[in-house]
Amino acid sequence: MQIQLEHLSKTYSGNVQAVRDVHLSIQPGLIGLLGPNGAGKTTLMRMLATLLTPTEGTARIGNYDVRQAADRRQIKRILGYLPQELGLYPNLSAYEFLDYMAILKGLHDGKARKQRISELLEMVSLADVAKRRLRGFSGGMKRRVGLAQAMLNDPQFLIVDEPTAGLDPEERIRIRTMLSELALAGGRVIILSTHIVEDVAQTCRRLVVLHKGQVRFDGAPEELAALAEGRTWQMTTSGARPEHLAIASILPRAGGIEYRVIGDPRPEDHATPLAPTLEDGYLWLMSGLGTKETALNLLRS
Amino acid sequence: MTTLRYHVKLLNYDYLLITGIVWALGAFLTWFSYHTLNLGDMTISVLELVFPVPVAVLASAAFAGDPAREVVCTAERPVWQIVASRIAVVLGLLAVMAVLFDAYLAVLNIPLPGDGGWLEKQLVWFSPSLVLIFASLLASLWSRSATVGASVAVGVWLLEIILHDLLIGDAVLQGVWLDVSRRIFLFATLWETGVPFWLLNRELLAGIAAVLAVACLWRMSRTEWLLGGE
Repeated sequence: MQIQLEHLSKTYSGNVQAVRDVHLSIQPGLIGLLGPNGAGKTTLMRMLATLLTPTEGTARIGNYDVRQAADRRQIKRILGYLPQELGLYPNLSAYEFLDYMAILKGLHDGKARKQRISELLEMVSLADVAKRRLRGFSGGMKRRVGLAQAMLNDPQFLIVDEPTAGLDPEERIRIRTMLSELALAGGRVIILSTHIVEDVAQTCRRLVVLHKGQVRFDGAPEELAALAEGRTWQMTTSGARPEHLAIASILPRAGGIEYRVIGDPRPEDHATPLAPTLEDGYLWLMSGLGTKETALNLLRS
Repeated sequence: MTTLRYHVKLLNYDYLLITGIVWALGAFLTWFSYHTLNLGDMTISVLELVFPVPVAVLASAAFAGDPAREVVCTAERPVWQIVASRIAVVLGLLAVMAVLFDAYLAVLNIPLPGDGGWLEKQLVWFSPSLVLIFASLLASLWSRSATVGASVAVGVWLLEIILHDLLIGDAVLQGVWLDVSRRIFLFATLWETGVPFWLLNRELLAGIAAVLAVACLWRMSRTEWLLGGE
């Protein structure tokens, strides 16, 4: 199972280019898709999920082309999709919702369907509330139901769009762990789209950064962090905000305000160099200080 | 059968309750007006005017009111089949309402309105309901909003009631225009009682509904038209 994107673009009416000339080759495993709001992540996900037709370029999921109507039905057979905003039916229980979705996904054998739903409810730790109506579920529980829904057909290609947005830390970690376990099962491509850097840092061996519809980075998380090597500083000021620098954090201290900043060259003599994190690398890339070319040159060196 | 059960469960319970209340109210008014005021028009009003509205409102939510529609669109079963099953449930509900009402009328010894045999008389409620159901569905698919779909159906219904004198009278429309208007008027049983083209009117309405249904199918042929993203 491999996913191949070539010159993939999507332009909405009004000439709004949401995705521009994306080239990617995706192998089995968990890949993180990172980018700010409006970067084009959801549009890219929707094209891969057969919900949107690309304006230009091709996207092949295994042997199937998302542009071909006949292939789209085949893609749906191997696809699991958890959208950014999944609405659930408040009148149905978790079990009924999964049963209904399983029928729509083509799981017609009642016994096998029941077995699969039970397994998934166990996987997402909702077996004990399977018969409770969804209207009473918390945000985290709803996401877990959504993830179970995406896994109903044991998909070879799983797309999860912002699965942890708005969740408390415990639920976020739980979802992340589930995704990592699914990736470990092997053979499956999982695309995790998020704007939360921490999620990617904890789960992915490869990440792609999108910005204004274009790929700005494609590599390992440590490679992205390395972009900010020698550019991550800690400095304390009496209150003046550092200019022309990307600020990663601000912490009030007894002697002034401590800033963690990303910039090149060293901002002040007394600024202390720090070991960069993935977030620092991401900030460097996104701040406009690091262009795509700079980033690539750094990676090559 | 399992799928059908879920489609029924997905219907908006508040609307179902309102539909039940509408039926009960119609039944009471029919009994009251026929036996107390000796008026037969109320039977026609309930079947032709009242029954189509709640089902048209329900139809507007068949896709646009589905909170999980993005996931539904990635399912193996084509969207049009899912929506068609939901519309079938709505039509089934309408049929149950109407047949129960027929039985109720039989118990009260009130004659069924319309021409022809029992089956043809069912066109009193069936034809206008079909038009409003598919107009509502089409508007909801086009606008991606169940509210807009329901508003279009209620708007057409209201306009035909308010403007019925203009639509079937010769104050404004003349000649061919008037002929056409009368033959596609939604409430011909009530306001065109006894006209020879009643059956033709019902058939033309069913034809209009078929055209609207085809337009709905076409609209459902591309997911981006349903979810946005053209």
